This record gives sequence, C-alpha cells and structure tokens, in this order.
Amino acid sequence: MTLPKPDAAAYLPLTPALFHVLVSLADGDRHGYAIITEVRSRTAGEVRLSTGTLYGIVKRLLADGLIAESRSRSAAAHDDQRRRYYRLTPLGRHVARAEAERLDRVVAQARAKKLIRSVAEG
Amino acid sequence: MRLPLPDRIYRRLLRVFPAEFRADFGDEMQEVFRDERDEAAREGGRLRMLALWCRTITGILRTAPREHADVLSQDVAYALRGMRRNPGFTMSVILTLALGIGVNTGVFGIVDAVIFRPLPVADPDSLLVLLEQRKESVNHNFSYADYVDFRDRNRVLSGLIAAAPIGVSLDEGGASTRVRGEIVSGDYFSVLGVSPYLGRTFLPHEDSVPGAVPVAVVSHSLWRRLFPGDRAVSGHTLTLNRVTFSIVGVMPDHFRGVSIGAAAEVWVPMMMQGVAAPSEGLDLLSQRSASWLTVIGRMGEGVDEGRATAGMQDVERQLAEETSRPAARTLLLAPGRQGDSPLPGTIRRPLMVLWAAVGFVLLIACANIANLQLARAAARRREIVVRLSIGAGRLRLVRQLVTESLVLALAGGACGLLVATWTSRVLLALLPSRGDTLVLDASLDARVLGFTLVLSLVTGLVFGLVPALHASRQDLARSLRDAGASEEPQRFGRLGYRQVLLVAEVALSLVLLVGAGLTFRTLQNLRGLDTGFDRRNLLLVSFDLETAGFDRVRGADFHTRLTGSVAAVPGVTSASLASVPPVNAGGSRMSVFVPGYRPRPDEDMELNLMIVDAGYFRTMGIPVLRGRGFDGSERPGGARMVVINETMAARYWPGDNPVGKVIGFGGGEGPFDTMVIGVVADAKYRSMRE
Repeated sequence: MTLPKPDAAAYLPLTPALFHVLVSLADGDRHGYAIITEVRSRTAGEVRLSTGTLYGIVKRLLADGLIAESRSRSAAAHDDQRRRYYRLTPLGRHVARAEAERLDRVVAQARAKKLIRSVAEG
Repeated sequence: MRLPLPDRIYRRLLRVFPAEFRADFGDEMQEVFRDERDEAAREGGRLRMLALWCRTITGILRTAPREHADVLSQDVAYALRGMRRNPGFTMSVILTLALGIGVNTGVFGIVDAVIFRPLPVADPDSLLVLLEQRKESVNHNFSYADYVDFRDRNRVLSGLIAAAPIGVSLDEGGASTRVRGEIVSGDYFSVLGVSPYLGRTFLPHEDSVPGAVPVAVVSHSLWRRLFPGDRAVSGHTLTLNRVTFSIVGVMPDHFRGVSIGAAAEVWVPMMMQGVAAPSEGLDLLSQRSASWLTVIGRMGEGVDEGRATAGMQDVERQLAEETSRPAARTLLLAPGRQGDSPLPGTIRRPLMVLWAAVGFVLLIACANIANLQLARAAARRREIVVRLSIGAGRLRLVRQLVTESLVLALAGGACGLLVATWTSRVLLALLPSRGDTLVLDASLDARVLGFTLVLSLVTGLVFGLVPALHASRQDLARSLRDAGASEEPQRFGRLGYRQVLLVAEVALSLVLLVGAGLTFRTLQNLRGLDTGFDRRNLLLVSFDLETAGFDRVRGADFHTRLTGSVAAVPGVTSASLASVPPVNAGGSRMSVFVPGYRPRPDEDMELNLMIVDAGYFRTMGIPVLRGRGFDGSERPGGARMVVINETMAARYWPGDNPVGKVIGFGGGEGPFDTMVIGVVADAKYRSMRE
C-alpha cells in the first residue's frame, strides 16, 4: 500500500537557503557542520549558512517532515556520537525535485527570451 | 569543567532563542559552532574568525524573532481554540472588558483633549499666558492699549499676541447663522507658528488702521461647508455682521484657535473690532479700561518663565509710573501650552475624579476576571498538570496562560472602542459649558488608540498573571494522583487567592460607592442651596441683537414686544430681560464711588453690574426690601437709577437707609449722578459658591 503523496506544490517556492540544505542531503545523510561545509564548497563559497540560520531551517524541515533524524552513523572514527545526522524523507526528496524542476523551467524561459545563452551555445 | 570563553559567549547568544528551541538544538549548535571555529583557526587568519563571528551573530539575530513569532502564534492559536471551546466564559470576559476599557478610553479621550494635549502650534511649551492678579482675583483679560505696550516694550518675549473669542452672524444664502471665531492681533498666526492650509495669514497692513481692511481667515470645516472642493482662496468672500470680508486663508483641520473647547471657525484682524466685536459703539482699541483680550507670549531664546515674568513686571511698573495708575495689579505668566481657556480649570477636577472612578471600575473588572480565571484554572487543572508532566517548562506554561489573557484583553479592548465613542459623546454633552456648546476633538486618534492598546495589555497582565503563576505551581505527583478530587485552595498568607481578590473587589466597590454617595450628597446640597431667587418654573433664553443688526431704537422696540408677547403666552406668569443670566460666570463689573466713603488703600471697588427691566425682580422672585424696584417709567437719557442689594447697602450705608442716596461711576470726585431707588435681597450672581 502506498501512502497518498502530499502535494509538493504546497511547499514551493523554497527559499534558496532551505533548498540548499535539501540538496546537500540528496546524496547522503549529514550532520549540521557537514551541511554547512557541503553547501559552502558546492557553491564555491557563495552561500555560507550560519548556525542560527541552519537550525531555524532544520527545525522547520523536521516539523514539515521533509527531513528526519537519521540513525545511521558515518564510519569515520572521530565522529562524535552526540552529533545528530539528518536524512531526506521521500517527501523531502519529492519537494526538492519539484523545486529543482521549477527553477529549471524558469531558467528555460529566460533562455527562450535570450536573456542567457544555452550551455551548448556557450 | 569550565567552557572556553568563545563557547560561553556563544551560549549567551543562544539565549535570544525561545527556551524550546534552545532545548532542541542548543547543544548541537554549540558543537557545530566549535567545528566552524576550529576550521577558521586552522585555515588561519583573524579575518576569517571575525567573518565567522559576524555571520553567526547576524544569523542568530535574524532567526530568533521568527522563532519567537512561531511560539507566539502557537500560543495565540491555542488561546483562540480555548476561547471557542468556552463561548460563555469568553463572551462574559470580553463584554466586561469592553465596558471597562471602553469607558476608560472614552474618558481618556476627553481628559487628553482638555488636560494633556497641547495646542497644535509650533513649540507649545514656550508659550506663556499673561494674567493680572488683583487683590484676590486673577484676571485673564487685558485692554488693547495694554497689549500694545507689553508687546512693544518687553525684551523677554520673541512674540506677543492678543485674541478674544467672538460670535458673529454669518450670511449664508439669505439666512444668518451664528459662527464662533476669534479677533486676533496681526501677528497671531506667525507667533503661534501655524501655517495655513490654503492661502495666507494676515499681512502687517491688514492690522494697522481700524476698520480699513476687512479680511478673514477661516477654519477648514467652515471652508468645506461654504466652498466644498474649492482650492482657490482668492476672490472668495463671506459676510460677517453684514460686512463683506475677503477670505485670505484657510487653516488646517486641527487648528481651532487658542481657546480649548471654543472651536473658532473664523479669524479677523484686531482692527476690525468695530464690526466683528461691537460693544455698543465703543472703540475698544483705544480704551485702556476695557479689558477684553487674552494675551499670549512666546519666550525668547534662552529666556525661562522666571526671567520672562520679571521682564514683563518691569514693563508693567514703567507703565504704572507713566500713566500714574495705582499699582493695584501684579502681572503673572502661566504656562500657555494649552492656550488660554477657562475650560481646563473649571472641569479639571471633575474630570480627574471621573477618570479615577472609571479606573476603579476597570480594576474591579480585572479582579472579577482574575477570579473567573482562577475558577477556570481549577477546571483546567488536569490539562495543566499533563502539560507540566510531559516536560513543558513552568515559564512556558505561564507564557501560554498570559497569552490567553492578553488575547482576551485585546479582544475586549477592540470591542471597547465602540463603547468609547459612545462614552465620549455622552460625556461631551454632559460637560459644563457657558452657554455655547463645547466643541472638543475627542475622536479616536493615535494617542487614544495607543492608550487603549497599552491599557488592554496592562489589563491582560493584571488579570492574567496571578492566575497563571498560581495555576503553574502544581505539585505534579500529588496532582496527578488526586486529579479529579477536590482541590485544596492555594494560600496567600492565610487567605486563598480568590478570597484576596474578593476582598480587593469589595474594597474597591466600597470606595466607589462612598465616592458616589458623597457626590450625590453635594448635588443634593446644591439643590437645597438658597440662590436668593425662585428657581421653580424659570426658563431662560439668550440672544444677541447687536450682531443681528438691530440699532438702539429697534432693539428697545423688540425688547418691549418680546416681553409683552412672552408674558401673553398662556401659563406664563411674567417675563423680563437682563443683561446677564443668573448664576453665570460672566457679566460686567464696574468701579463704584460713594460720596463720603473712604475706601481702604487696596480695597476693590468693582461691583457686579446687571442691566434689568421693570419685571425682573418679580419674575425672579427676588423680594424688594426697601424703596421700590423699576417700574417701566425709566427712559434713556432720563434720571439714572439703581437698585442695590443688601450687602452693598450694609457696606456703604451701615445702619442707614440708602434709598435716595447717590453714587457715581466716574471717579472719586464725582459726578455722583445715580440715585439708589431700592434695596433687594441678596442672590447668587456669578457662582453657587458665592
């Protein structure tokens, strides 16, 4: 039996910071510090989350059921047992994908209007 | 182990978050911040460390308000659910509060307009009202000649203006209506620092030659009434006392002159006195003995009230020497931030008493609701205990309960605004005024709305805090065990909270009852007071023939016909005329001289003077004790006659019959051309306290 999927559109659009947190969890579970460093390196330093901003987002994502606390731990030996890891829930993945598609459509429209050039033409 | 300094600082910073948020994420955030700090230290550079701190602090300050708002909105939503679940409780609390807060707001609106709100002029705190103190009385009025001397000779004021209230008849499409206004010195608007809404104010040449330039400035409301929608002033005129005035400017909506409650609609320059403030053909501008102007000054740069007073008193001394006038008066300066109005003085006390009384009523309402809350807390005990036992902090619970009270109080305050408009309307109609209607701006402006908001919040705290603290102080184990069993009341000393509240309520009610009783007693005493005339079935009508364009002959004719036709109305026993209605704070006073009478050096020889007709004493039921009253045979230009009262008879002719004696109004040397024809019983003339 599959649960009815909540409508992802109800969560859109996401704020950039919130979207980045979801994206950083897309390829594996991470703890808070790891999310901050992942987002920073992926965006080449353009997006730097502060602890306050991050945990405000984490609280909201947990409450909405887009992420959940993960029980699996990284194998790294020095990892602190007190750290909490977070993982994307199926709903979170669904919402993140919907947001990515929305952004993609927006970019496509900008391209159609010759606002930016396509990668192929680049 | 003591944490390193940066960790301690960070922990402190986290305190701006709500407790729940800290409990959920505080340790973890601390951990992450330590990692970030280690990284910044590893990768080197104070600059990176500084950037990290900046980012962290701004992040916390940006996130915390949202977290608090989340908690608040949860609490409010919870409170609203609770209110919906108990509609009876909710309605009774909101209605009680609406009454309490509404009446307080309504009274505050009037208190603010009368007592606190300054004139809407530039820097009202630097204004001073000129007063003259004679032996026992303080007068607010000066002659125009005095005003000019004060204005031109003083070195302590940056400006001095004169104004007097006027009532003029305005021709409006054939009909004539009475309009209130002010006759003002030419620099009135510039010294007050009021800019016109349209057009301009008076120019110097418009207030230099008597009767030369009939110009007027009108209020915004009069402008809207006469020329709706028009924004061009030039070319518009209005007819006041049958003379055409050119309108030169329109005042902004909030400016209604320097007398609170009088609400001027039109302003004319002093030089138009002959038309706008006629006084039986007298030229008030040249007579030093005619005191009719309010004089208001603005303190100069670096001058305080003391220096201004000393400076003005110097001028007064010079004047007294030059005019060889006896120095029977002392000049005083009073704060003029509210302009000069008899109103604040006369109704200040009753208003303050009323304000205190309605404050008590609100306190009683608070005690009542606090009691209801306590009763309800007993019913909600199980809910509260469960919440405490699943880990809600006590502070969190108090916050929740107080939020419920605040939501109730704000709802009550909002409904109270309706009650407030009604209250101020009723109160305005009840306020004592002298003949004219009182026009006060007691609308719900920002000040009044702010007052309501603060009052509602304070009220919510007052009736919410004690029950909340009380409810949250539960002995968990015992409460869970006994839940449902009867509650043992919490103690406050030897009494329960509810008893304390009851005692407070009864005490407050008693204070109000005693106050009401005393007021009622005073009223009863006033009713029983002997006024010296028969108040039963006495009716009063006021009119002004002079501004309506009647001359002496036509006026006298009108008077005769009026009293004749009123007396002819079935049921009317007699009718008469008087220049001043009985027990009226106004009226004229004149110095009286009696041959052979040596006044003491500082004796006040001014007496109240009334002009009455033949039927007056009969109509008023004032007995004639000696001689006779007027009989209708008196004629203008004929023999001058007066009727005096017992007090005057005893003062000037003790033990003697004054009938047939003469007095004079000219001076100590005579002429003594007025004969006393009768003595009547004393009555009240200016106030019931005489």
